[in-house]
Amino acid sequence: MRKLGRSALRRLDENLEAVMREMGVTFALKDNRGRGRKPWECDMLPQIFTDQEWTLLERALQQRLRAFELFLQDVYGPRNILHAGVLPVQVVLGSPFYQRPACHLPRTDNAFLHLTGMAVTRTSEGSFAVRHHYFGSASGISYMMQNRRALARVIPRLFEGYNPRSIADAPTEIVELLRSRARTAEDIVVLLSPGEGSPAYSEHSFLGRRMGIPVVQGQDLVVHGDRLFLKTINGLEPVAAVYSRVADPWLDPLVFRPDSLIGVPGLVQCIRQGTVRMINSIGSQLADDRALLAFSHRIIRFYLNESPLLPSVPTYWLGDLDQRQEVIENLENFCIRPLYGERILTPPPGTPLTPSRKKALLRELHRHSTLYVAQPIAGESATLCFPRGVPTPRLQDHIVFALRKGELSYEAFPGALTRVSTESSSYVASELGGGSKDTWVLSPAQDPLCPSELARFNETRPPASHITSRVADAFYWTGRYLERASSLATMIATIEALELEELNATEQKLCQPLWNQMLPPLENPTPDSRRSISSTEGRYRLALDPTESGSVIHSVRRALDNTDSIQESLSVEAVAVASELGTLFNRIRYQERLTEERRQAVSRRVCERARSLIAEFFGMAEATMVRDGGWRFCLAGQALERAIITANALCTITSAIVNLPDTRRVEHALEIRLSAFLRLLASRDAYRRIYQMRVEPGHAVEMLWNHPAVPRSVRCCLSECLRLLDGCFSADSPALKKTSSEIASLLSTLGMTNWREQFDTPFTGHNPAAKSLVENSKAFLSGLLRLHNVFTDGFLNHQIHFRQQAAQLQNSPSQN
Amino acid sequence: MPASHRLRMIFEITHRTTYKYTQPASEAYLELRLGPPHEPGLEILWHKISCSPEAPMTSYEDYFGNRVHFYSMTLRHQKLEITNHLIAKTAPRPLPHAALNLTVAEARQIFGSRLPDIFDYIQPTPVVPVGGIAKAWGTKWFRGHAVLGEALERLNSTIHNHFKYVPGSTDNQTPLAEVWKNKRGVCQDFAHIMLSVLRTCGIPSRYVCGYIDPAPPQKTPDAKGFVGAAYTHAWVEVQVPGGNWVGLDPTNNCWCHQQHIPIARGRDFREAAPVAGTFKASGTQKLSAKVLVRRLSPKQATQRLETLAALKTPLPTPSQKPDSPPTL
Repeated sequence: MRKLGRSALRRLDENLEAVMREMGVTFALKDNRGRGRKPWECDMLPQIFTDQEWTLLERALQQRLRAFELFLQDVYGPRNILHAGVLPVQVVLGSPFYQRPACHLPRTDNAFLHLTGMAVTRTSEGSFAVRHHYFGSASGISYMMQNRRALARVIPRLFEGYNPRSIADAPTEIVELLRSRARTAEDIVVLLSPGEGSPAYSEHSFLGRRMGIPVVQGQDLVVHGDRLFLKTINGLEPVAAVYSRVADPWLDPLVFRPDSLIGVPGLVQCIRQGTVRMINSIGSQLADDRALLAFSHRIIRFYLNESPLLPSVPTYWLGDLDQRQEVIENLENFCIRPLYGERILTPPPGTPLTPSRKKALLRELHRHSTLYVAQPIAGESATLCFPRGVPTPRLQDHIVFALRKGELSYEAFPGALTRVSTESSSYVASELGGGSKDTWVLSPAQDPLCPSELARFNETRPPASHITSRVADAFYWTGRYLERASSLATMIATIEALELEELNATEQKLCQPLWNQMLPPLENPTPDSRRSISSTEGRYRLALDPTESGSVIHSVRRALDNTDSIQESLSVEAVAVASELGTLFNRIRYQERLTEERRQAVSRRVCERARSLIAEFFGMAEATMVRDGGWRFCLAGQALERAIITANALCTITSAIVNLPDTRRVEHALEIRLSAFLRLLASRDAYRRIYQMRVEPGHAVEMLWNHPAVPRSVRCCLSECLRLLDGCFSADSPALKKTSSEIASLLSTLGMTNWREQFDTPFTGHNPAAKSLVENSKAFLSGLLRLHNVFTDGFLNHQIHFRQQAAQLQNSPSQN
Repeated sequence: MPASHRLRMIFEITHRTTYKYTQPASEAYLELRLGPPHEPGLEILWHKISCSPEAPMTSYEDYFGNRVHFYSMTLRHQKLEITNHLIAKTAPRPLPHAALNLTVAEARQIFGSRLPDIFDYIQPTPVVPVGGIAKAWGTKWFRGHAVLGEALERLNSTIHNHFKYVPGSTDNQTPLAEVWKNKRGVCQDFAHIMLSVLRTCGIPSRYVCGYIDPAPPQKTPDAKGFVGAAYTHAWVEVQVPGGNWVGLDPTNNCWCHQQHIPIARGRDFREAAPVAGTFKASGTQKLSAKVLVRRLSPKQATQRLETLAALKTPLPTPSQKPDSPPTL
């Protein structure tokens, strides 16, 4: 490095950042969530542990793990350490991380701790001290691995002459541990994540990919008969083991926080019944409580009768009056943190504490003293970093990780996640951002591996069958809402154009009642809905009023809520169009008072833009998305929604025509209506091409019901649904069987009805043929609406499966 | 017939909880703490929990020793109904006089030596805070030289007299501070107030959810009956030196005896909720509960049990009182 010039160093740093961005390694800070995640920073100069240092670190970690495993088993059981008076009772039983329901729960392999981490820092004398336990929940393994990958790719020369031990197999070892918990080959293992809102989500998806297991959220799982299942579009898959990245209090709303939306109701009951195992076992996070760090030497002595191999960083538990007094008197020398998590209450050193902030801080410390600890600021040694190629001293700490190998036996991964401080802070914490370093543990082996070998990673994607029902559901509703928005936008824009350019006032009056009934049907219509498309004001509201259920803006927002929840499953290009659509509707505010012309202009412009952006979304997605089951559900939703809107419009026009006096049915007025009708459904062009004649009711209706080549026709939409579903399920899926047979029966009804002929027979008075035509149309529409239930019951909420199960249960001899 | 047999009482209890949804729910999970506990003085002659829609249930014992039934319903349904049907025989519970005759100071010393065992029952919970007004009350009634049993009795009657029992005046969300301020509440609030004072004074205590027979204990013309019978009732149990729990009912100003039938215990109403759960539905749900407690003579009980054994599905309907408050 000394030989390289400033600009060469700078280029290396930029390359590292680019590689991280490309690999999608991000860490989202509190103020930086959402779409613009920060790429992870890795410094070009690796941290190297000598053999001696590593041996000490590994032994110290093993020692603490043995002691804390025994500690957890004790405090969730006989509580000997408390009866012996070695620890204040408050620190353990008063800890918010002490989970009472864990006391009687079976533990995975009778152990709490399986995958663990520990943060150590270097004191100014150069020796190590333990700063934090990540025993219950170890986060950062993927960042440790990604650092190695990035460095090996960007600066392979660095590795020459060194021989760092490989960490590439870490996830494989973790998944082996999990797989050994499954009883049969069909039972799967899942990684339970809080979802894309979690700052470490990129770690979850990386580990999931590397382990070859699905990354799921609470809503993907369902408990049935004391067993845990993953809801996928192919049915329910039994889950045998869960690698949880969700904190204990959020796991199960029945047992822990009832307001948790990211947990699985009944999960704890499955663990209790022994049908599901979890790492780490529930209750483990108590070991990470910083208040216990202050007592870790006592815990090690009590259970192992050994001296600690590494000291802990001096930690003051503020629940103790004397300690609190000492800290408050020297507030500027301490860093105050909650018992768990990355938050820091005190300002970075050097920044003065304003009197008002100090007052607020002291009040909080007095009020909730037991929830905080303090660690001294001074006493850490610096390392050299090259941000933007400039050598800069920074503070650092290291997180080392270990895996349980057997009874009280643990093996550390030969590497670490080295975190370095940011420019603005001289305290290391993920919360503050800052960078990291690749960390090498040198191997005593003779033949060095080539760097490319170090970077070898065979990523495996979970098989497509794991597309979960939650994801498919979000895709399905994205399709339906976008199609609804698009159809309505087309109607609004068309009417604006018609009123402005073509129809005179009488003609408008003729059409208006019809138009209102053509509006897309809603799932839960409000009885007093003001929905109206026949006035300028009504159209403006239908376009832009977010409180109007079923308005364009409302449907678009519902669609975007769905795409937001499955961003990971969408292509970057499709996400970009979706966000543009969101921006369109965020820029324009609905205003009650606006002139008639202004309303007209705004409705028309917004609707036209929305329509083309929605088309762009589907086009872009089609061109860039993997054609997996999820994406098919989006298209199927679109097709079904379109069929429903067309069928609803057909019912409307049919009953309008048959109720006309016979003489007027051939008049000019009818033609105008029909022409406007076709334009509202964006199908006049198709009609002209196919029939090359003036608009006749029989032809128009026949075309929209049954023409196989007209994209809006009900037949075309239903065939599309069938094609989409057929392609991605095994033939014996009960959900597919049920759905296909429903669609097939609808299609055959369509084929058997001769819509045109029915129109050709004259309708006089209360003609039974006319009545049956209207009734047939309505019956067909309700058949389509039912298809939605068949669809969701089969693939999304699995009611078909549960009903089968219940029927089997009833047929079996009852218990009493 | 020996005297102790004559003092025994038999009750038939029907407790029905109903959830109605505005939109059908596709998933529902419930934890039922409908006991009853196995303990001296309480003999269970008949117990059946029925759910509609029906589903197999499993059960476990929770941290506080409650028998919990786990119910899961994954079929779409519009309404959920849980009926707890119980016939129980209760016996008088003698008070642990030796322990109650200790002074508060002596009791505290004994508790101090058993901190790991009693810790849970002297800590605040999110709904039962300690300190504040509770501290003033505590220092008044629980001075070191006071006799424990007398202090408890005095606290019980002070709460009973200070607060007004007004059905419907509070709900599950009402913070305790508001109860202190408005001086009124339902049995749950009376119990929480008492727990708050006791825990502030370092006396281990827990919340009990159960049923109460409303009939007056003595058959004199002016005897007043107990309140709290239309719904589940709530009272308090105090751990006395020696480890025994004794029950006090501040709502009815008495020590708990044969007419109190416990079903669940915890540190506050949340942990002892008889029916608690979570639903997946797009609409909202409405909860209603009804309890019917009926005293049976030994002869009636025998007949009733015979009928039940023959029927196997016994579900008498509790009386409907349309204007009654939702919680007690």
